[in-house]
Amino acid sequence: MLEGILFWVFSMGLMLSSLGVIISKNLFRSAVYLVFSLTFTSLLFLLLKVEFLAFLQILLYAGGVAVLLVFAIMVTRVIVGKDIWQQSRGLGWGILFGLIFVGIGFGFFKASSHLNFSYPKNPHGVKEIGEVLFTRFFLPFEILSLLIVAGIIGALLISRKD
Amino acid sequence: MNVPIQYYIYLGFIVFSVGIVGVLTRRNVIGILMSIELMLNGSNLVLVSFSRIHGDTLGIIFVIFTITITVAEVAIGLALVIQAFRLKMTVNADEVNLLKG
Repeated sequence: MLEGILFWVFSMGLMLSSLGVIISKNLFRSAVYLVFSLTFTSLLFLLLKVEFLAFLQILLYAGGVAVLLVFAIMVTRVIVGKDIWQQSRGLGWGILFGLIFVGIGFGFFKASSHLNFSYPKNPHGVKEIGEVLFTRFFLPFEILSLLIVAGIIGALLISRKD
Repeated sequence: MNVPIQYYIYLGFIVFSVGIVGVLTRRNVIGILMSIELMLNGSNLVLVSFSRIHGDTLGIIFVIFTITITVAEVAIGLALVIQAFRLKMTVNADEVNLLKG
């Protein structure tokens, strides 16, 4: 019962925050709405009992990606010397397409609504994630670290002044 | 009884479609990047709920990898945006048309 109430509160917060990201005219407010929606997603992960992913989402997404976005907004704002307000042209057509898209998707969901899913027993603790990550997915793990190093070097090379 | 797991999938799909509308509608490049973040967020939610349905840890590993790759992609994307901004002095997606023939 508490989980039901919490689910509706978090899902309403997530939907309103994501609508705020795309509708808001001020770029800083879009970034703050994005932080809110990432935090609400992390709380939904806590409700789904995957605590490791909830903390990872706060750490990397809300604490890394959103801060990088705010830095980029500040850099591209200061150089010009005035506020860059956002214009969204064609918002009506965009919303119409979005409604059609959601309608088609929910048509697919309705076709499979006879399936009855039940929550299984939960093998998703950090111990099980670590066991799978370091035995079965060890190669992608190492390649991921290579990719991060390549990303660092690439970002440094791109933004050099020469 | 707890919430049916289908609601999490519906919610992830709604967030994903809001992100798609944002990518199509925004004129600012950083706004487009934020809408891409929203799309990835929605798909992460769907992946985690499917992982909970089948009791498989595979979905969670996938989300871990996706989050890490997204962080690297946002860093490089913002470096590109700042470099293009130095060249053209605008962040409007309509005006970055140097390759136009």
